[in-house]
Parts: sequence; C-alpha cells; structure tokens
Amino acid sequence: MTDALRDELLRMGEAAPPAVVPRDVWDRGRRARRRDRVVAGGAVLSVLVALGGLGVLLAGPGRHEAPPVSSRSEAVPSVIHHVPARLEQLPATGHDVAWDPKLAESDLAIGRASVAFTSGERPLPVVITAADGAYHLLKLPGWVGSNIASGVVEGGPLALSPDGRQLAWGWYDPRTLGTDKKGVVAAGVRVADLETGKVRTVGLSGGHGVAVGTIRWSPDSRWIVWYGAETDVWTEGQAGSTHLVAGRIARGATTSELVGLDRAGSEQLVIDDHGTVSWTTDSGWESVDREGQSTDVTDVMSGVPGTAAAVSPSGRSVALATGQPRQDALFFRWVVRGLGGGSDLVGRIETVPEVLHAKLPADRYPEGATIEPVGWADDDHVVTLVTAAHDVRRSRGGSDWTGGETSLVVMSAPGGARDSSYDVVARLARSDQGDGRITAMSVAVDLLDQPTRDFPAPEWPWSDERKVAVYGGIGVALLAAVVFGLAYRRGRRLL
Amino acid sequence: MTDAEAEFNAFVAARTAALSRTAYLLTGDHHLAEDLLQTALFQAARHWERIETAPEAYVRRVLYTQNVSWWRRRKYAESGLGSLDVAAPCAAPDLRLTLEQALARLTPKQRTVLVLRYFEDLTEVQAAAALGVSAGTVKSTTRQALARLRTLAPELSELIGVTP
Repeated sequence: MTDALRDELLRMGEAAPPAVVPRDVWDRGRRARRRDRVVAGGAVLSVLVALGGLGVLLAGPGRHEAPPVSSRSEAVPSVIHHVPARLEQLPATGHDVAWDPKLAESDLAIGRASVAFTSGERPLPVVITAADGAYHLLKLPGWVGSNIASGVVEGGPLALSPDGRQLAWGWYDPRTLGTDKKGVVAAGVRVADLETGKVRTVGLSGGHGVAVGTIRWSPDSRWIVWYGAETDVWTEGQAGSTHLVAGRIARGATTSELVGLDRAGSEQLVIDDHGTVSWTTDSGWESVDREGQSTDVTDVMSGVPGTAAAVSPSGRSVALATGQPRQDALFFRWVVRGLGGGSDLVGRIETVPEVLHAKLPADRYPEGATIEPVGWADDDHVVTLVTAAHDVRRSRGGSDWTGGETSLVVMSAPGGARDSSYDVVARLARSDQGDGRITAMSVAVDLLDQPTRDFPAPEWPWSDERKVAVYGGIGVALLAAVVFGLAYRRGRRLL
Repeated sequence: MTDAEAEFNAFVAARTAALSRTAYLLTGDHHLAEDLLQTALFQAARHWERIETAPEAYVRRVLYTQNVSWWRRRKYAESGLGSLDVAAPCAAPDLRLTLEQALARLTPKQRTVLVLRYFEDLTEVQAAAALGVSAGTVKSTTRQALARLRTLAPELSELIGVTP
C-alpha cells in the first residue's frame, strides 16, 4: 500500500464536480417502493392462497372446526380491529343500514364477550367473544342505532355488561314506524344473555316513542341506566325531540323506572351497584337513589370540563370523561373527613365531594390526551380509553409511531392504590381507509383480572379490489419470482 | 413534505459532494458518476425506512456494487479521460493523467477495490463486507490491480510501490 497512491486518488476525487441530483429522486423512489409492496404483497398472498387452498383440501370436510376453548382462556384482545365499512349493506328506501346478510349473525348465543362497539357512520353493532377473539357482526332485533331517531340523542345505544355475559341495546319496532307524524313507535331497551341467546325486552313509553341514546351497566352487571330522547315526531323519514329522559332497569326486569333529570343536556349517566344514578351538571354533581332521594352538590366541578363515565364498584369514585385533551385524568369522589370537636366532646365526620387528578405519562402524551373511562377493574383501578391528542413521533429509529392511537389503559385512581400504575393493556389498530369508525366501545372489565391476549386479526371477506389485486398478484408474483431469481443470480456473480 | 423526505433531502444536501468524489473515482467519468450516484440515491429513497439510520453506508454499497453490475450488464468499455468536462488544479498533473488513464484500463472490479482500499481507506475486511465478498477476494483483487497498474504504466512504480 502506498500513501502516494492514496494522495493521488484524493486529488483526483477533489477534482470531480458534485453530481446533480434531480429533485424528484425521492418521489421516484417512493413510487418504486409502493410498486415493490404491491408486487411483494401479491406474491405473499398468492403463496398464502395456494397454501390455504392446499390446507383446505388436505383438511377435508369438518376438520376445520376449532377445538373447544376452556373458559380460562377468556380474555380481552390485545388489539381491537376496525370493521371495513364495505361489510355494511346500503339500505333500501325505508330501511336502516345493516350488515351484509351473509355475515350478520342473528343467533345471540355467542358466549361470553370481551368487547362490544358500534362501527360506521350509521353505527352497527360488533361484539368480540372472549374465548376466541372472534368478531360477530350482530343483527340485533330492533337495533335503533342506525335509525334516523338515533340522531336526536348523543351516544351509541350499545353496552356490554362488565362481566361480559349480557349485551344491552336500544331497540324499536320498525313495524310501528309509519309516515304519520302522530304515530307512536314502540321502542326501549333489550338485553340479551349471550350464553343462552335469550332476549329480554324493556318497553319505554313517552312522546311518540323513546329513542335510547346511551346505556350503562352498574359494576356488578345487575343494573342498567339508559339515557334517551322522548320524541315528538318519529317517522320513516323524520325524527325530533325536545325532551331528554333517563331511567334505570333492574336485573331481570322488563320495565324501567324513570330518573328525573333537571335539565336537558348531554350527560353520561352512571349507575352504581345500589341502583343510584349519578351525573355531572354544569358545575356540580347530582345523584338520585332508588328511593328517589336526590343529592345535588353544586360548584364542586367548577372549572373542570368533565362528564361522568364510570362508577367504581364501591360507588365512592367516578372516573370522568374528558372531551378536550388534558395532561391528567379526572376523578370525582366522596371522601370522609373528620371535623374538629370544637366545643363538642365527640368529634364529627362528614363526607365531602372532591375532584382528584391523576397525571398521564408526559412522555407518551406530550400534547395531552382525551379520556373515556369504560369501567373499573377493581375499586382502585379504572379501565379507560386514552387517545393521544396528536401524532407523536418517537425517537427510536424514527419509525415507531404510537401517537394518535387509542389505547385501553388500566390506571390507578388517585388516593386509592398504594402505588400509582399506568398499564396499556390493549390498543385500537390503526384504521385503514374504508374502515368504519369505532364508537360506543364497552369492555368486559371483569376479564381484566388476567392479561389481555393476542388473538388472530379478524379475517374479513375480500373486497372486489382485493380479489383483483390478489389474483392478478399471483401472476405478478410468478413474474417477480423469476425476476428476483435472475437478480439474485446476477448479485452472486457481482464480484 | 414528510419528515422522512426532509431527512432524505438533508442527507443529499450534506453528502452529495463526498459521494460524487467516490462515484467519479469508481467510474472515471463525470456523467457516469452522476448516473451512478443518482441510481444509488434512488435506491436509498426506495428503501429509506430500512436504512434511514445509516443511509451513507447503504448508498456507498450501492455505488460499489452497482458500478460493477453496470459493467457486467453492458460490457461497458471504459474510455479514459476523453469525457472529462472540467480540468481541476492538481499538484502533479502529468502523474494524475497517467494514473487516471491506467485506472481506466482496469476492470471495474479492480478499480472498485482500489478505491475502497486507498481512497475510502477501508481495511480488507471492511472492503469485503462492503462488497459482499470474502477478504481473500479483496486481497487478491488488490494485488492483481496493482500489478496491472505497474504493467500498464511502469512510470507509476514509485506511486504504487511494492505489492502489498
């Protein structure tokens, strides 16, 4: 080796003018990347299709049935997937949107469930079973969530009980729906036992029919509180309301007891194991117990924009939802406070209302997050959906995007657990274009006494575009394999 | 503009001059060097997610291997300095011309190995890793290249020295 040769090469290099790099090189590279992905995807899919077809042929009839799953494997899925909007069937005139009839399930004896949610712009019900993580596109009898009347009240009328064994939804009878504005629509709440499939119907009366907007379960899965609109018109093409109503339904009951609301609003009501219904007001807190005794606390919520969302098993604490991004989660609870004895010989105690704050991890949510509690794992730990305010790019290699996604979190409530904790136990998969938006999610929080489980992602029927891409991809894959083989051989000959 | 595109553009702006020098030494021709570098940057953009933590290493590897690949594919006949557009100041112009002419008559494989060893200052093991060949191949190719230089241009003996 000679230093002189090195020096001379350096001089030659220095003499070379900088090359001109076209501005579109990035765009061309990315286009090529997208083409690579299509080809690679087609190749992989074609192989999978071939293998899958071979597997079916080899398995023969009946062998594909899944073995029975023991109840110990029941769990909440670690990833909750969206349902493609193309699985919805566009409604005929006078009908609501519905799931594709080939996919919709009307047998509600699907077994214990882990998650329920509504999907799409005209929301349809989806339930995930706890044993196998399967997605069930349910055809709930009288589902009101896709009817025009659902627009007169906020929320989604679907709720899975905390134990995962019952599903409640808002219901109406389409046969009573006419064109006459004076007609009365039969409507209310229905509850299905997911293990037997039996459905309990609770009729609600008021105005021209009560359109249920939201439903909540008590922590022990015995009580239901619903919130809805007493319509003043409800026809095939029109619905309106100026009067909001709420009520509680006891376990096994087929009637509902109205709960007096002081004012119209968008409250999310909660109900505890004793049947006491609570909600937030503009600045305070209001409760009505089973005897109709009302507790009205004013000004405790001053300056705190929260709405009630989930009551703890003991009924002492409520996790509040926050519509605006915040750096903390809010809780409302009653605390027992001792008072000085003063001139009395015996000291006194009283319960006083208190709003508590639990800090969210700042590194995970630098822009804050919105909170939507869905239940309590125990009296000290709330289960909540947390959505980061903005996309946040993490530093690890610049490729790990976690921001903006919604996570299911089990976090300690302030003033309860000895050690504060914040555990992300599941997440919503990123939605693709064409996926239905997930709303009104409820979770069988009783299942969170064990870890969430990695179930296979749901396999939806292929779209027409995908069929074309895959079958076309088989041909392209073969071509790509030939090209790859040639390139590989050339690469091995490189030097 | 995405963050990735901004990172790519920043990389191009910062490293184009240095990469151009390597490309020129590999090809011996300004236009070919430009094509070679553009091809390497196109490949970098294509695989940016995978290489963004170390894009330069990837781009250099593409330069080395693509140069040889082109030659193999096109049976390219190198033509010495005739295509150089710009003459650059040099401490020893006569010597430089002779070396460039001699380099032009090496195979791209030999030329690439010399550039890696004496311009990029890589060890045999590093050069072997960059080219995806064994260190023994790099060693033998280097020896062959230097021997050929001596044969083609005996006047360069002082520059080249003894066989390593």
